[in-house]
Amino acid sequence: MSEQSSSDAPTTTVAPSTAGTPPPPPTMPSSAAPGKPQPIAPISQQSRKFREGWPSWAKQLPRLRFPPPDPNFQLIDLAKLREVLKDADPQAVQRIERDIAFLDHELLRLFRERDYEAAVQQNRYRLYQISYILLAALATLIGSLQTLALNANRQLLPWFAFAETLVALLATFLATISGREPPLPLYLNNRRRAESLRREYFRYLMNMPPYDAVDGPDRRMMLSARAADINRGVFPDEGTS
Amino acid sequence: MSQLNRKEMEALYKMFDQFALEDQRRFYENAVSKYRKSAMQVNTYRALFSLLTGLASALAGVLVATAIPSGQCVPGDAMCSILSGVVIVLLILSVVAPAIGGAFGTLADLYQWDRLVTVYSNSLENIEVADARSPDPEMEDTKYRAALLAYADGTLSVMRDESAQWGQLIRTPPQLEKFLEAEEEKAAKAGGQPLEFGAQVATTPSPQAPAAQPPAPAAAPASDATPPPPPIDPNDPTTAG
Repeated sequence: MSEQSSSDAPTTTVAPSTAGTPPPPPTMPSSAAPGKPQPIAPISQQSRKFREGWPSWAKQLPRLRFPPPDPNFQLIDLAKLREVLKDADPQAVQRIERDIAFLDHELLRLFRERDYEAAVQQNRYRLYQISYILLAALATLIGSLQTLALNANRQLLPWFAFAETLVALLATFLATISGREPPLPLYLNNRRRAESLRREYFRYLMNMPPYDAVDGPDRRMMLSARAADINRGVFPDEGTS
Repeated sequence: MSQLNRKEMEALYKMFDQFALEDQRRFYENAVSKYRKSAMQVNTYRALFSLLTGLASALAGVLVATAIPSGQCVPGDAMCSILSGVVIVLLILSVVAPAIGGAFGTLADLYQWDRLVTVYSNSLENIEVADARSPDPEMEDTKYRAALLAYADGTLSVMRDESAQWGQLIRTPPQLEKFLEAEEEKAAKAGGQPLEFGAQVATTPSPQAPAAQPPAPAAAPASDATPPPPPIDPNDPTTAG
């Protein structure tokens, strides 16, 4: 308890008596009290609250309606970057931000397209495969019920046979419409290109080979050329890393 | 790296550490946890439905053999009616349960959760090795530069190897391919048409990599995980930047 130095105020203060005062209530645990920390999700275009509360395997089931792409998705959030580099050299931070701005048009634009296309094709692939799984289960079920009906009620047999035919026709219908632009190779190709573009993004920012050999416009042109090559399926870092 | 000064390198290290390595580590941890949980849940369902199938069949058999002997069930007897109803329910269960269990089994084959857990666990271990090459602030500039290059290159190599491995795992379960072939034949017979569109309905191509891709390594089991490239020795003047 510090002494006040004002000439108009008393020089000492006395703590009030607590006699007769009820004890303070116990501190209730705060809902934000430290316990097991919530894991930070990795950077992704997918919403973090997607199918919240569902079983883990069900969250990975395909969607019937795929959401539109996020045109503002960034691999590095500038606000977070500035927070991480708050103690760094301002010129160095400026250089990084300049590179990020350049990458946004030359590479990140392509990455967003490839990443989104990969997700769409993966969803399409899983949708078809799960439809086949359901039809296969239905076919098994109908077949088993047919066997039971042989002994129990023969009049149901033609109906079960019709149901089996319906399942076969549906399966063939799905197989035919999915045969055009098969989703599996499209998914794998796009995913491979997207991941390669992601690596190239960091390779450029870190000024790793081959970018350390050039500077200025040559360095930028090199990035543009390599990004375009990766986008069309030519992977330069398969041999240079 | 030869064009960067010390402050730039330090800023780039912080950036890469947060937005590349840490983000990738979070992704691997998230993937291992998610896939492990999914595999466990679906495996439990498969086991549960197998158990139900066996129990239902066995119980139905016991009831028919003991509680409802043939010729001794009087029409209108309440207990007999109840037991007959129970037997019918058990028979239906013994037909439905394996179909559902089989569907979950095929789902697990489609998603390949167990093998993905292996791939991502290996990648998580490898990324720790890459992280171990982080440059130390007390290093002098030449060593710092070499360590930074080794650290970034190691991380990007882990990412590349991981992509190559899971790409090999994504394939259509063989039982679905057989189901589709059988259903196409049934549909063709029902329509009275020869099977002319076999090429069209092959929606599940065999897992061949496209021609543009170099041959990728086979999916590595845990003991054969591709190790990260050897570190660049900062003390070796031929490899230091």
